[in-house]
Amino acid sequence: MKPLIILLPIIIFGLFLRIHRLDSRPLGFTWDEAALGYNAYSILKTGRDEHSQVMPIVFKSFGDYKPGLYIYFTTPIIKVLGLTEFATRLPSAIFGTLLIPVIYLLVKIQKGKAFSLSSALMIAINPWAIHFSRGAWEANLSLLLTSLAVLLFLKKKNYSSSLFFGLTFWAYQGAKLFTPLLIISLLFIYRPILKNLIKPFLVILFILLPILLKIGTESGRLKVFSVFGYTRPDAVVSEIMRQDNSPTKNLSYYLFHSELLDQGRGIAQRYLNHFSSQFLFINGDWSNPRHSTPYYGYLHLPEVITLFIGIILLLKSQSPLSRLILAWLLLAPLPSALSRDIVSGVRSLPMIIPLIIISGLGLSKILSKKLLIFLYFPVLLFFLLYLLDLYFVHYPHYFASDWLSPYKPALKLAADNYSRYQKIIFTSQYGQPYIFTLFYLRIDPKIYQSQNKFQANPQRDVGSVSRLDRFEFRPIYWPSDRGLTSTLFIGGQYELPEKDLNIPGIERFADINFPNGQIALRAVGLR
Amino acid sequence: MKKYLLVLLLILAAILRLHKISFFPSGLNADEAALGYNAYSLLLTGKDEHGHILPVNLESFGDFKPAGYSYLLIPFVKVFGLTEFAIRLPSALFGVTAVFLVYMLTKEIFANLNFENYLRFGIQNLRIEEIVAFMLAISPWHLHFSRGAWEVNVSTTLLLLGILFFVKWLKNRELISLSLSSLNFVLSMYFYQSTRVIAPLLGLGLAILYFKTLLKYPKQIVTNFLLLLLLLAPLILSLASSDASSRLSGVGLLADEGPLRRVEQLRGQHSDWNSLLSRLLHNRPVIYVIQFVKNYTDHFDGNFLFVNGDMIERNRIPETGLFYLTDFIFFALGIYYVLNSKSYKLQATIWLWLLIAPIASAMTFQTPNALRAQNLVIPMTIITSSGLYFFLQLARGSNKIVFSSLLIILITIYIWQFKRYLHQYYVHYPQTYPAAWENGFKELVSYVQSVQNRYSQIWVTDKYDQPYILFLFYSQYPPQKFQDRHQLTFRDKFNFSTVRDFDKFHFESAPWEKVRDIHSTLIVAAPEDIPSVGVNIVKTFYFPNDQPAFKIVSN
Repeated sequence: MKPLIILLPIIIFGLFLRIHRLDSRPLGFTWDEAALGYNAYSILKTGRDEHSQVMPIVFKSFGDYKPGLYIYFTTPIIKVLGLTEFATRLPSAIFGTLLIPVIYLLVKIQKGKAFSLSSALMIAINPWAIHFSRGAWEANLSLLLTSLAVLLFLKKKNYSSSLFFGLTFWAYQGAKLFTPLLIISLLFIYRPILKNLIKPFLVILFILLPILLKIGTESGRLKVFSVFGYTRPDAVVSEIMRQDNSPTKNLSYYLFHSELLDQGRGIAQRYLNHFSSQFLFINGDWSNPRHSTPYYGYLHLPEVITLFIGIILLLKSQSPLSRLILAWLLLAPLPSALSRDIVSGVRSLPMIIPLIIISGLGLSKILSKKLLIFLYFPVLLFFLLYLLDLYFVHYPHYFASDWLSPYKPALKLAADNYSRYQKIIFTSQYGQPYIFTLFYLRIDPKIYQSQNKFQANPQRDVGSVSRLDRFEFRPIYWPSDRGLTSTLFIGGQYELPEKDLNIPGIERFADINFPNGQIALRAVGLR
Repeated sequence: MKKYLLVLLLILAAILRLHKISFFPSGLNADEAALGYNAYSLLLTGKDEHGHILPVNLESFGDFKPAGYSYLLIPFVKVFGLTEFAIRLPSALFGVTAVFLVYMLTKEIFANLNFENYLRFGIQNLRIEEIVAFMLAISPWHLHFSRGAWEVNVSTTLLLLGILFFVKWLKNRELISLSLSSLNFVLSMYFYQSTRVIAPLLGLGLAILYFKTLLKYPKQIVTNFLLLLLLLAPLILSLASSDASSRLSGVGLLADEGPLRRVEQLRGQHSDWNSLLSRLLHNRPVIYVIQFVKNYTDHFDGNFLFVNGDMIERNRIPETGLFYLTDFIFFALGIYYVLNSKSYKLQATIWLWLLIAPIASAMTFQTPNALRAQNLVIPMTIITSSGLYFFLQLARGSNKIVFSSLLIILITIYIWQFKRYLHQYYVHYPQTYPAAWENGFKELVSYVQSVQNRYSQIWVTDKYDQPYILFLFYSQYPPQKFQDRHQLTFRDKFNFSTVRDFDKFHFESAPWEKVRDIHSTLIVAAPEDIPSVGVNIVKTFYFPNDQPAFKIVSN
């Protein structure tokens, strides 16, 4: 009975950290979030996605083919709360909270309650977990499903386990590599009787079927992200050959400077980056501001100590769970290492489970010494406070532009003046303006589906939409556009240069600023 | 039979460290020249270049280098003259010694308990200490700092010797071992700045680890304590009486103003910048503690250790890590193995060293730093080799064909990586970063000497670090003449200073507008300072990559 009395407050605190000011922190809304929200809305109203597909498993969206499970979880919430940022993000916050008891139960299989409660606490307050629970991140759903599947596997509930493993493929792209790796390690470590696994395996296969059938049409996206799609610039290669004093690619080139070796080194570098202190303790994912809090890592700084103690204890223990955690830790960064970004906090999200359990193991060791509790907890608490301050106060000052915060006020302005202009030209400089227009103006999906003018991208990356009702989405070129009439322009400050706006009859609106004071968007109307 | 293998390993280590040592690294950097010229000065006059009598620290460029290496150089300079070979030789020899010492240390630490410590291959067997010695012999990190007049390498070898004697003492409990351990620890502090932090911490750490054992020998403790005081006295006196401690304030953590700017920025973002919360969270102690932890943990960054190495050109080979790429697998295995092996009786000493090694470097900015944390190479190589050994042991358990093929693959991979390292070091390094080793001064100085009688003044660019010392070194300028007839400039913000004038020479940047009207002067300028037409360029010197290094103008 007693563990529950401690666990419950931990869960409630975790929930609080995940939903407090969820609509406005992070300040802004990404196009992926808007797409998830609007497609859920579209399913709710019409049973079809924005491209008029009936109940798809994979959503075409911008041409990036999003696995659809998150959207289906969002649909009922939007039914209740309406199409808002909060409603779109809420499922992820709930998944993140559910992860706390799942981790608790996962650890409890093996060890005493101090260990499992420590792990639950560590995940509840973990910066990485909190970050991806605050925002519509499909990876967070996949994380919960993976952990749940492992938990059920360890409880020998093979059918439900394989159901959840299968669903990870419906939840997140990155699962396509990681889930199979994890299943293989489970089989290696626990060596269950294979005969009993045939039917559960068929369950996974059945869930996978619709995805396998479509794999050919969507592989273009993979090419964009894969590391093997990129090679060194010619100048680098020719400099190497010049230094080798050889005009052609000779033996030394193929032995010591080949493209393959260079890519191998790149993969090793990316893999190791996920274990660097820069990533874990100092900056988080430094390659993408959307993925982490400024000046804060994915673990709390004092976890240097718990992680260190934990890893020693883990390596000394020979239990199957220790081996599983180790395998999980070592495999989790692979999808990220094989993709083009130097490091990625979202593709390597599964790392969080082993890291937290190891840190929890270290914390449980500290808990066994009274004196250390009094030394350690105040420091941990201090850093939690430090994180919350950075997240709630400082984050918008640094990364609001990455989170596209100008869209909301700009589209409110457009909606307020909608009836006064024949045409609204909205800049495409922040990316995918159409989806935000659909989202914030709550445009009826039925109407949109009938006039969808989606254009695919010839490079097989994401496509775009340039026209929607009265809206036109494109870069503004003021010297020629200034001649238009009855048009509202919303564009960047260089697209609408201050000195050229003194035209008679022009209507100026107040600039839309970033929280740090820089001008984000400017709106002018020509009558 | 077994001794034979060790000798072979030492010969390998020696060849790798001595081969063409005068020409690779290609050039001579200012620190090397300073150590050499000060040794020359001490040899001839008993004073350093600035006229200090028998100094503990060399004022040099205002960076107060520990003088140990220069004293060590005196006999070498006496025998071989003031040449690159002479000043680089001691570091190389200490590097070879380190290979031997790490062999001895591993042997001591890895107790001879249950024959776990060798692998049988037919009639031959392979010992763990042999793997360690081999791995250190071919270690890119250790090779790099064994080639060149790097004081740090001597210092690391002395630390190794200190630990070895301590471990010996743990076995024989004789005063002489403990005293030799202390002697070497202290000696290492006379060679390199960082070691002045590392050696005491290591000593303290060992004392704490083996506190109970030590307490049984109070007499030895007292004797040893007095010995320490005696040995440390000159160092303490010199630190107290000169500006030698200024080095830390120049390159120390607190000299980096970046974190402070961030504190100000973060405070400004609070609605009330001076609120309790804002002051509690954003202040100097907090930000510099975070910075220190960052600097410290940076040294265990896999990208730094295994893939790309240090960012500083003088410390890195292009596209090469400090260890071989595949070493990270064996390092991870090694941690697992050493933690779990019952044979590692004294494994605590290795962990202690591993954790203390980067501390001094973490107290400075520019981290991770392969130079300041160089002593990390020893504990890491021991652990990596243990992992390699563990791997072989595991593979041994499988059937013969699997084992032989694994062995062949492993050997092939390491030979290939080793060949690649040599290729990068000898072919690409001099061409990729020629300026890092101040290539070209040797030819320049001999040229200038041949023509200097025709000019009343010689103006030399200071684009490359501390040109004056390279002129002193290569012209073997008499130290008596230099000592009292020059002036050090005021220190810059990193606490460095330089010499602007001696004899006919003047060292300053030489943009054309400034020097065009100065006559009867030979001007040695950086290539970008001189227009290519309308100037009487008498000679141009090139780097190994065919980029111009100097343009020489006669006015």
